[in-house]
Amino acid sequence: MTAGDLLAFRAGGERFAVPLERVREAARPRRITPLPGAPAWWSGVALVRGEALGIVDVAAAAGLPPSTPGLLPLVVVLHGCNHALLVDSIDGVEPFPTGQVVPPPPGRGALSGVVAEEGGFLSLLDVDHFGAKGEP
Amino acid sequence: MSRGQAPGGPFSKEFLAEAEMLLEEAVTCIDGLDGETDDPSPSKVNALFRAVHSLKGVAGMVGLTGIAEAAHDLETLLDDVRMGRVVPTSAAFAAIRGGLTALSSLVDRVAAGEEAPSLGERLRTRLDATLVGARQEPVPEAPVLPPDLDASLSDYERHRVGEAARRAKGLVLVDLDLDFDSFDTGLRTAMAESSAAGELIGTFPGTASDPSRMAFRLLVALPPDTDTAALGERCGARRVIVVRGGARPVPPPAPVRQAAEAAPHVAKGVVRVPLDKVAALVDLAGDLALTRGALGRALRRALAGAPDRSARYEAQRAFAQLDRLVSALGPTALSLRLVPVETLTSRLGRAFTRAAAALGKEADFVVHGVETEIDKVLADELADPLLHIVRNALDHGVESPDARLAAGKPRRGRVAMTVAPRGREVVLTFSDDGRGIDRNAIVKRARETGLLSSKEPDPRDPFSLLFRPGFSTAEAVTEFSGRGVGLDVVAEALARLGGRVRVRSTPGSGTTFEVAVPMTLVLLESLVVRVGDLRLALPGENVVRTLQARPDDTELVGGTPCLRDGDRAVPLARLDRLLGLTPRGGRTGPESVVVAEDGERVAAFVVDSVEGVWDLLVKPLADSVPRLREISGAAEVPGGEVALALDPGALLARVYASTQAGRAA
Repeated sequence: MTAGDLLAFRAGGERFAVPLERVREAARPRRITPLPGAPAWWSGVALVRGEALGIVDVAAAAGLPPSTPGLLPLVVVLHGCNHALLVDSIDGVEPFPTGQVVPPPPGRGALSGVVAEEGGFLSLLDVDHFGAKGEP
Repeated sequence: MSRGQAPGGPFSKEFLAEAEMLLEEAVTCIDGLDGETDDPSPSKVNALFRAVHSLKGVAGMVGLTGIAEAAHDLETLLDDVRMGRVVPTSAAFAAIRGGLTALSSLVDRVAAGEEAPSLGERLRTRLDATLVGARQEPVPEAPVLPPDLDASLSDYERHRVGEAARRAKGLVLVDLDLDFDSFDTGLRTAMAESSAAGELIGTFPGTASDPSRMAFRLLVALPPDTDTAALGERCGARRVIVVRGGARPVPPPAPVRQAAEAAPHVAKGVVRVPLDKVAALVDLAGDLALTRGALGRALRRALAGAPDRSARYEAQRAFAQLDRLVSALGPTALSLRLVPVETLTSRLGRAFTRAAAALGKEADFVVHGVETEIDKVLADELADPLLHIVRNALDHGVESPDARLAAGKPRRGRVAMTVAPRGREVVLTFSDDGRGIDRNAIVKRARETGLLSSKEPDPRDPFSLLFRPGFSTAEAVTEFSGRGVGLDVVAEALARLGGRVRVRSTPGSGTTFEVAVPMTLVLLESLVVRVGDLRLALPGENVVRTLQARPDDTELVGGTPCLRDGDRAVPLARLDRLLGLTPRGGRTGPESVVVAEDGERVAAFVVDSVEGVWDLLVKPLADSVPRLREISGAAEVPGGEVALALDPGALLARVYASTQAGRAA
């Protein structure tokens, strides 16, 4: 693993990525249980290796229609925080893109930047943003 | 005095916790140094120095300059002792103790709400007055070691080398040549062995035999008759060089690898295991128990139609065996987390002695049942609330010596602590022989302060008022010189641990605090209910009963729906509405109701159905995950579903807040 590598995945039909060094594991908990009182971009809570983790709906957090996770949803568990990201599929480890990183569109605080790439763009997620209260 | 706000600013609670710990550590060190005036253990002196140094740091950080200044003066004295500029006489030790007492009184003043306490004079002046004659001019020390080695020593290390020479101790260099992969273990072993054999003065980098290895050099002072060969072997050293002293000749090269691999943690049939490994084992045992349940159900279904009777019998027998083993595994794994409660009581005892001295009380702390074992995590979590209860007993319970004599009591007071297991709980009681608490005065005070409205009847247990937030004590009840936090914080901390606290008291003859907590924090007997698609778990100990309520079992009391429960009316709430879920469509007929209490309040909750009672491994949910505060965690229930754990205290608080709002409207 080299510094700057990313884990890329898809959610809501778009591509997202987080720094690889922040990724602990990908897991498939049995289900996600909704959490009363949580904002809409929180999918709920899941038990992963006996730990209760809050699950962020990446699609909803990025302003896309929320996901409807079924059984054995795919989540990316992060280091250094108590939540995991709900994703549709994992693309894999990729080097940091060579294209220019531009600021995210307004109102998308969950993103730290966007990079244009062939066939679309890659949104970089600000993983520490989700612990904070308020809007994505 | 009101106990609601935190005096001394927002940092005071953290500062006090830290300061308390450091002072305790310092007192433990100086206690350990008692009788070591001749040759005080350098590690204890250093630990003492570090504790006071850290206290200076935290005090400075929060702007308590008076404390930082006093800590600085004491730190200077301790530095003089460790560097040999002050002879460690009993006068010097008395000065250090005096300094610690002064610091601890300053910390107590912060606790009492003072914003920036200071001694009014430099602590140094006081210390110097005690120290007459103990100071000595530094004697220039003749170099003992070869110049190249001497040059790499710090002043402190050089002083310790000189000290060792003066005391005719041997000095050796332990040369380590360690595998890169395991050098940390090897180094730790060698350092521990060296400290056990003598004094480890310093650790220096060495020259490794090849780049894949790590070399270190330990400088150790040893009693004259030490077997350096044996020490070298225990350390896994390449060689031991005797620099000074009549020790035995240099040993042959010792087997490095073997020593590095030897586990240093095993002694006398005891293995030290990190708590997280034990937690992982407990988790696995819990998961295994859940899987066993699922297997059992599947097996029964599969076997129901199986034609081969002997195969069916074999499968059932094997499952029964598995069932027994898995059932035994859980408690066995849990028992690994148990430690003797003595680790907790000795800490309380030290705090007691300190508090008694600070408050001018004379009293003994007597402990029964120290051999009881409790969960390690629980022991750590209990320390703070119990410290508060102990201080409270001294402060408000035990009278001053004069008052005790006047009341015809022995001059010395007494606080007795007993620890005893009771079922699946451990019960800790604290009984003082002090002035007691007048229950009528408590109720009167609660009415005066509006804590108890004129409409509310006297509570069955007036002492429970003591644990309500905002209960302010008056002279009539007990003179309060609090520590910034009230007993409500104690009750809250204990509730978090699934425990509770009760008070009994006889005016004039004493007060007893009884704390009951579950033996372990891990498995929690829980009632699981269903509301819509959600499963919710309530701790079994908070559930009074479950019932089917018909519409004519309920009534409106002052506009609040209530459940008639015997001769009382209990506030009734729909759990779905309370948690902001979409309420279920109109249904007639009896409804499932759970009556729950938190030791103080009781309420009834309408749920869709009651699923059952299970022992659950409740996992806490981090605060950073946004949600209703009534939800404290999650747990897997048999069948693989996840239940959200409800915090009964928060739930009841919400019911009472909404019924009061209802009344006001």
